[in-house]
Amino acid sequence: MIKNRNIAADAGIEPSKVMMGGGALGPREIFYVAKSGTAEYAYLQARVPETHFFGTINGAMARAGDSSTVLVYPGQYKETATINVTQSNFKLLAAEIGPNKAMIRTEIRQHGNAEVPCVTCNVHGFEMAGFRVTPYSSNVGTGVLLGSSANTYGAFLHDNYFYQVEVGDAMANAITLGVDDSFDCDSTYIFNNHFFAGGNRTNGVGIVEWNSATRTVIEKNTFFQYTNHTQNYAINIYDAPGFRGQIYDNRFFAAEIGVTAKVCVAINNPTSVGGDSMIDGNKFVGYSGDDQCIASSIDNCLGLNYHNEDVIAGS
Amino acid sequence: MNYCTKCMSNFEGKANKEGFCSACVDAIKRGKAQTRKLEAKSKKK
Repeated sequence: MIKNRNIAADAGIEPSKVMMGGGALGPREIFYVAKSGTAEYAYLQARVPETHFFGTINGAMARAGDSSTVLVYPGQYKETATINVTQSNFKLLAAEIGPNKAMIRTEIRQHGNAEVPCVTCNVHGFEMAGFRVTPYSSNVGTGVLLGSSANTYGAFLHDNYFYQVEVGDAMANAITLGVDDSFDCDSTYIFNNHFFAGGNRTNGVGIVEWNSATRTVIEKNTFFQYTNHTQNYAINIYDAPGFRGQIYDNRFFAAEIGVTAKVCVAINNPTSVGGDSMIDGNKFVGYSGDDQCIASSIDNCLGLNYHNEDVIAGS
Repeated sequence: MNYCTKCMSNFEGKANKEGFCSACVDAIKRGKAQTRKLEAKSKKK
């Protein structure tokens, strides 16, 4: 498990020196965002040129170019519109990341705000790390929407905490990969995130909704499903061609007070998909049976997966 | 400043009797409305 850390400190970034030699905007620049009223805001305001210091993430996004980084300091950010990433090879990073810090430090929130995705991206090479993401609670609410209007290659989402507030049938999902039978999210890497979601979710969308996404890797994440509903999925793989996914070393936990074996589904995979994927090393706790751990006909791409310490057999 | 036990965030303004913020109260209402809609749809079938 990765340790909590301060990205700016680790990288030796000194805000007062970031713009040395600068002038015209160029690639690989760093833009700073802090919440007004915080100590970080005052510190950065005194040291960073106003062209590179902002009070909102979207303010920085409007200024940032390809290959740049937006470094966000702790606070709750309720943007008035989606954070729409249009810059290639762009990094959206919380200044402090890590499993615990992502839970409480730097939040991108639309819950109770605008009914739009927290973040969208339709360009290549996007990296996002260290945030708590709290999407708008509705059936169309989502945390990160990738590849909705263009093919999107190589997104890297890591060390985030996705929190879908438990509100019955208005539950949002965390990550949406592509759209059905259309644009492709190729080689998305979802690593070391924590997902907490509760709700009924009867419209068949997963916490990670895997629509059109080739070669996606979902590795070492924790999925906490607080629900006992049959159509609540942690990872919902749409019946799409070119699946070739890898889902390995994740932990899935189903919970509902007073219910021993939950009927929600961890990995849901429609029948016509399969045969070219690796699903291995995952652990499932609290589900009512093997079919609730890995549903549908993916026998030919199963590895060694465990349900409450027993190996899941194909059926 | 209050703390909402549903969405685990600080908020300004009044909490309901369960300690939830207005964002959560509104979202729960939407969830219940969606449940009614789905139940009505399944009864029609």
